[in-house]
Amino acid sequence: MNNAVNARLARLRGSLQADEPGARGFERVARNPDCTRLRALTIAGIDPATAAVAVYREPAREGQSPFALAIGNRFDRAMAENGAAQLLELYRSAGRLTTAECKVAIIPDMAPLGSPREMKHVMALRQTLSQQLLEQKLRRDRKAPNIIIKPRVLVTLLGLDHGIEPDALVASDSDPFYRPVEIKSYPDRAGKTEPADVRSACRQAAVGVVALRNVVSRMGVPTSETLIPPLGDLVLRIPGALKPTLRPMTLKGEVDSLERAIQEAPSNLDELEQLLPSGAALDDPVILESIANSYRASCREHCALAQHCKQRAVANRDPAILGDYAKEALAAAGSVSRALDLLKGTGAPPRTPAERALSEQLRDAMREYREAV
Amino acid sequence: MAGEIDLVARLLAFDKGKASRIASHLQVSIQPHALVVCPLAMAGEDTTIHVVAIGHVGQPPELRSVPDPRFRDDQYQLFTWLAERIETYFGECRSQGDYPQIWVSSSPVAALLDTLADRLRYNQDNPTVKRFGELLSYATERFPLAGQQALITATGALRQHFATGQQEAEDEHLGTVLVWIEPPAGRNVLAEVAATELVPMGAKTDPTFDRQTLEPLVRDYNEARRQKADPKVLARRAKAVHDTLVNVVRPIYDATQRAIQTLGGMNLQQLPSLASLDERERDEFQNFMQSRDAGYHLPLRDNPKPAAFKLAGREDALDNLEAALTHEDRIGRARALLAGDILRGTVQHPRKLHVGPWRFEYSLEVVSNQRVLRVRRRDELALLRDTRLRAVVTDVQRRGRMTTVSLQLSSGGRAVGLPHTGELVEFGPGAPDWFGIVRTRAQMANRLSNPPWTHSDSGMPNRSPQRQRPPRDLLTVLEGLR
Repeated sequence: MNNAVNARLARLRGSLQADEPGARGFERVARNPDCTRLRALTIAGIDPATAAVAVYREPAREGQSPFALAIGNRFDRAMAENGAAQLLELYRSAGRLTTAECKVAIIPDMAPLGSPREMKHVMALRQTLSQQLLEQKLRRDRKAPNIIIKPRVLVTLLGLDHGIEPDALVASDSDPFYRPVEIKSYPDRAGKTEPADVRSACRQAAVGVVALRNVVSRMGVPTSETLIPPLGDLVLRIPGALKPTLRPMTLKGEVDSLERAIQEAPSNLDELEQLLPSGAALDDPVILESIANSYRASCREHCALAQHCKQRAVANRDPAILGDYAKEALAAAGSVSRALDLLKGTGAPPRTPAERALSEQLRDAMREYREAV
Repeated sequence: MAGEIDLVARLLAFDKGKASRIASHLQVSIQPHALVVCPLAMAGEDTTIHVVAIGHVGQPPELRSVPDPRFRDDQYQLFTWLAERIETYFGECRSQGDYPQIWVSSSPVAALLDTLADRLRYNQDNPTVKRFGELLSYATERFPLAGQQALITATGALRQHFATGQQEAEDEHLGTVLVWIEPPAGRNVLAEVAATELVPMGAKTDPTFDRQTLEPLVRDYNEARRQKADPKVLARRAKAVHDTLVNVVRPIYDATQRAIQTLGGMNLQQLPSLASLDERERDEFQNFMQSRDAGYHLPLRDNPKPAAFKLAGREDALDNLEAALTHEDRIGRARALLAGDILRGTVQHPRKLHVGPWRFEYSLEVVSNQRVLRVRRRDELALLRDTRLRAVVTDVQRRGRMTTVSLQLSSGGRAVGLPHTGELVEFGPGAPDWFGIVRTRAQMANRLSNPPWTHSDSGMPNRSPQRQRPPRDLLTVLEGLR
């Protein structure tokens, strides 16, 4: 099955190399499940940034500032160094771990990266090590680590395993299993923390939940949902310092949307192949463009194709260019040009009851607006 | 987006390639002495200022930067420099019985100032920096309140007055909003917007710029510093960073000034309630400064009681601003009408019923053909042309497109008089109540004198009334009560 699906996916990618979607890739699909183009790229294993550069030949607008990367890396390192002392202290002060619960496994230290040629081997080793530790915990072995840094676990999509690396897993000795931890260098300002940052971190933590459920299901645990509830921890940063803060989060909505996205994927591969002409691949801009997208205001937060999709939306006069409210309110018209016709009474008369209702609504609003101005 | 009016305004803006006006009155009180502050933080370093442009309305900026704000001593020198300017400005406002007003380009800059205020006001090493944090806190603590005039974002102020032909989220880019308001002649507005979008207008520089230009310069400076290079070399490298950053921050400062000019140049009449908002701002500022003089501490997180007061304050501010816009701004009123918050219709069956000596009961029906109407029984509405007349909804009947709302007057029957049959009337929310918060605070102080059990260590209280065994001899107990 894997080989067959692999071959189909390679055909879909054409000349492009496969990108590992990672937690961010899965999270991205869950953010905009209506976007067939994004789903198609994720299914085929093409990163939107690769598509923007290699398919559309557009400049890559994704990427972080080196200053932001530096602080992010420093924070990640600070959490892992000295046997994850800061993380242990954080969980102890939150009452989640006792002083005796100090067993830490740092997977990248146990299987360090050597030359790029060894990458595949190292990743496999990391996955095996992680698997052993997870099995140990599942057996309720008291020697199982309380914190595992950067374990490598698998999410299955289309019968293919994709490796993801949650920042950490945490469990006390009495906990039945681990909880995923997402470490972000975002400043934690309690209620004032940037909501988009929190949303994104929660979705990535939810990928960890889904992956852990996947792993324990393979180990023969029938009730993975009970063993791994939709909970995750966000470890953020005290503003202006390298000290961590802990925010336990409920991830029910995020986990549900991710599981739905993953479960829908196989039929989408079939649909995707049917959608495309025989032998067509996604490395062809015309083919990629023929797949429907769903441009939204939030796309620029997470997708490298946002700018491209916006240009197309402008060209097609898609109501989404005026925002999500306009996209919904003007759905009956289908385009800004048609909405303007209905507003001004130009062009063809309303063709459907929905268009007639929209026309009346817009003209009422227009009358009030004109009077007020 | 607020509703249909804004949708239509955006459609028209897109069609014309020019922003549409969505306010009949000026909704921001532009202080002639206002201070424009444009800081840029280093990416990822949320409590830093790499460069800042600061100046009064209509004035050129003073510019100051640090080569690398991650060096605390350098950073504190910049904070001290900034603190002197803020202290002077606040002092002048206080001596004139006025309030300070700070303009920034957009919400991310307001968030940066808020982070700095939260962080610096507890500084124990440098009293000037601590004072800077405290003074900034005045503006940043006022920011979440609707209608506040202490910290204004240029994008927010423009959005109150203009609808553009782009997404609401894109309106947070000051440059693009200004392009929509004053599109360049003979050029496609969408192409111009796309080009302007690439120019940073927030609190941070562009990641690509950081990668290709800024980071190498900062690295050079740090390298020279590490090697204890000649002061001239250090100064030269610091200047290279400064010049580069000034090229980024200066357009933001100019755009913010342009936004203020644009609003001032609209020649709109001020919203009448702005006078009350100004008055409130003056009071708040004087209270804040007196509290600092008295040495009161500014908490990072509120205790339950002050939090409840602040929440009530925010609700009150929002209600008052909405009421002010509905009553005083024609587009605000149209917005409320289309949202169904205003009942507009013709009067039917006005009745004056004699119910006792000098006592009358007034009632009427209003027949409306509004598509959306948000009135329920027991809602109290005010007649918009004279808010002394207030009425309570007693019934709502909908038949097809027509809605009949039955009303009973609760006040104003004699002073204003019952509307006539066939008269077109508009009922809606009452006028802003600027002193309502005083009554609310008094009532809350009374109610919260003992913290509720949810916010104290006393635990859940016993059931009330407590279940007791009935007395064995009920008759004796009753006799004892005589």
